[in-house]
Amino acid sequence: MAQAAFRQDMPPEGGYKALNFKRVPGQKYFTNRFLFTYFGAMSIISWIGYRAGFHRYRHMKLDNADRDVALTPFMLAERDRAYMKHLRRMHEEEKVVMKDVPNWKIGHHYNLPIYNTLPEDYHLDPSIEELFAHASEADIVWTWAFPMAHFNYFPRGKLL
Amino acid sequence: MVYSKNYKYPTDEELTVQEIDLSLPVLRATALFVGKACDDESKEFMLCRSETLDPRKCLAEGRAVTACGLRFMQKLKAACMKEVEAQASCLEYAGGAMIANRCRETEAPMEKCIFEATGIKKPHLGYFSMPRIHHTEREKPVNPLSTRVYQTPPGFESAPDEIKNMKVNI
Repeated sequence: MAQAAFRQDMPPEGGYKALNFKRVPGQKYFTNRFLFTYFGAMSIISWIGYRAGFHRYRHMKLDNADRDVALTPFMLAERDRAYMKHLRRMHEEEKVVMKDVPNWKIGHHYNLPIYNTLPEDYHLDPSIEELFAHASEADIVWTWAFPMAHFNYFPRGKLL
Repeated sequence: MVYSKNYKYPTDEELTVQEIDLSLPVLRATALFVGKACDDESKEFMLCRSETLDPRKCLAEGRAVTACGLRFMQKLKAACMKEVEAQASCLEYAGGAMIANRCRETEAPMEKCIFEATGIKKPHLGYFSMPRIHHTEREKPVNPLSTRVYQTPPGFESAPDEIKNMKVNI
């Protein structure tokens, strides 16, 4: 087996190609001054639009609130009457339900008054459990599931 | 119930009046006009309600509010039923909050008709939201808690003066 003659690898004739390390900057579409003014103009225009929308939204809410406030006395007048009817119904229901219990006084826990220092004819809003004491158990569970359904949005006045 | 037998319940005549049996769209459509027509009654009722904790004290004012609203609604029913119904049905389909922005086209003829029938103009924007001052002849209610008379303990008369004249904050 004849051995091939040894041949040293050499650079091509005329040398290697020059390395391309020249910087190629990106093409400029906009000038600095244009970008600055464009950003400023867009900011001003959108601020005007935002302001207009904000005022429009505030007016809408104010108009809506006006209608709510105007209707509030009518709703509350009707609700207070229904509430007093309900309290009296509860009172009469208690008379019937507790008539066989010995030593039971209406509006007391047996013969003990619930509030010792309050006047006899004083009104206190009862708790929700007390208001719906004669309702079915499912209805009471329902009130626990939706506690905000009984949230009093229009509380009566403060203690003077 | 916490109320004993001495608690005075209002009678049936006080509690049973003709109510305003209208749906929410109709009430929302005419709210500004009803509110303006019954301005004094509403303010009187709300003042009374904020002055006392007792719903029995403001029943008469509440009945006046309902009666005034009912009278106004009956007037509208006679004169402007078509316009009010148009506005109400528009509001009903304008979204859950019943915002009047989308119903200005039907609101304008209703406003005109109500002005011709009852002479009540739509109040300016924010009229009901701003503080409204009210003058009333009604006496300021007394808190029953401040008029309580406490029992004197036995033997109090023979106590020394410093104990008798002691000021106690309750």
